Amino acid sequence: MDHEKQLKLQAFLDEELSEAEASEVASWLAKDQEATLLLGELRNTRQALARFEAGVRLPESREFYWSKIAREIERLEPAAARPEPARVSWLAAWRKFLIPAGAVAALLIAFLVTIGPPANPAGRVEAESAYSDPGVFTYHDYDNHATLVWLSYPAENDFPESEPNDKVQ
Amino acid sequence: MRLRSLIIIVLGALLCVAIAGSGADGKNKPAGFEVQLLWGTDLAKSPNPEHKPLDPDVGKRVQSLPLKFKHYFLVNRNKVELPLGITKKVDVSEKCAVELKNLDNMKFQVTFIGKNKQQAQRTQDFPLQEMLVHGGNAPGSNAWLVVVKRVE
Repeated sequence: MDHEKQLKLQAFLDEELSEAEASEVASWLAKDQEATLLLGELRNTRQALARFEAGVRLPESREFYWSKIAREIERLEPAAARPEPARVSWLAAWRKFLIPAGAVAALLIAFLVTIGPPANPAGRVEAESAYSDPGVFTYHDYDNHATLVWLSYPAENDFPESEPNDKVQ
Repeated sequence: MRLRSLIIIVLGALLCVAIAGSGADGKNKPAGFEVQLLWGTDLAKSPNPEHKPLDPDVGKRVQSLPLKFKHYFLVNRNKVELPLGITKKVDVSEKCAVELKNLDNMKFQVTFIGKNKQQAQRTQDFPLQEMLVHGGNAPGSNAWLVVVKRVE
C-alpha cells in the first residue's frame, strides 16, 4: 500500500473526505483486508491518544493536594524507621580538623626550617663600617655570590724597593 | 578507620620532629670557612714557583670581578671552623690577617687586618658558597686578594 492510500485512510477516519470519496474508500475497504487492518490500527491509535491527552483536573488547589500526599507519606512511614542522625564522636570531629591542620603545620615547620631565619629586608649586605681607607670601593656580584672590597692598602709608597714582586705586604 | 587516622597523625608528628631535629642540628653546626690568599698578575706564569692554580670555582668568580688582572694564583689557603658566637683570627701572610666572628651562623663579621691595623670591617650574611674578597695593589702592577669563602 502506497503512502497516498494510507493518507486517504487517515482522512477517511477523520471524516475529511467528500461523500463520493468516502463511499469509494468504503467499497475499497470491503475488498482489501490490509486496508481494513490499517484503518483499525489508526482508529485504535487515535483513541489511545485521545485518552492520553485527556486533562486531569484536581478537585482542590495544587499545594493543598501535595500537602495531602506529604502527610500521607509521613503517616505511612513509621517514626522508628526514620534514621536518627549519626552520633559523631568527639574524636571523629576533631580528626576532621586535626588531619588538615597537622598537614599544614608540618608543611609550615618544614618551610621555616628550610628557609632559616628571616633575611634582612634591607638586602644581603647588612652593615659596612666606615673604612679608615678613603680609597676603598665595594662591588657586589649577586649572580656569583661574591663581594669585592678593594683597598688602597698598602699605600704605594709603602712598597719597599727591595721587596720582590710576589710578596703580599 | 580511627586506627588509620591515628597512625597518620603519629607519622606526621614524627616527620615534623625529624625535620625540625635535622634543622636544629644544621643550625648548631660550626660554620666552615676557607681563607685563600691570591696573587693577581698579568703574567701567565707566576714568578713564584710555590704559587698554585686556583680552584675552578674561585677562579671563575674572581675572573668575574671588575679587576684588570689576567691571571690569579693561589699563594696559600687556610680552613677555619667557627662555632656560634666565636671569633677567630686567620693569618694569611706575615702582615695580613682576617678575623671572623660568627654572629648567628648566617651573619658574620669580617675584619681585614694589615700591619696590625684594622683596614676594613664588614658584617654581612654568609650563606654557603658566599665569597668575600679583599684586595689591593701590590708591587709591580700586581695585586693581592684575600678570599673568604664559606664552605660549611
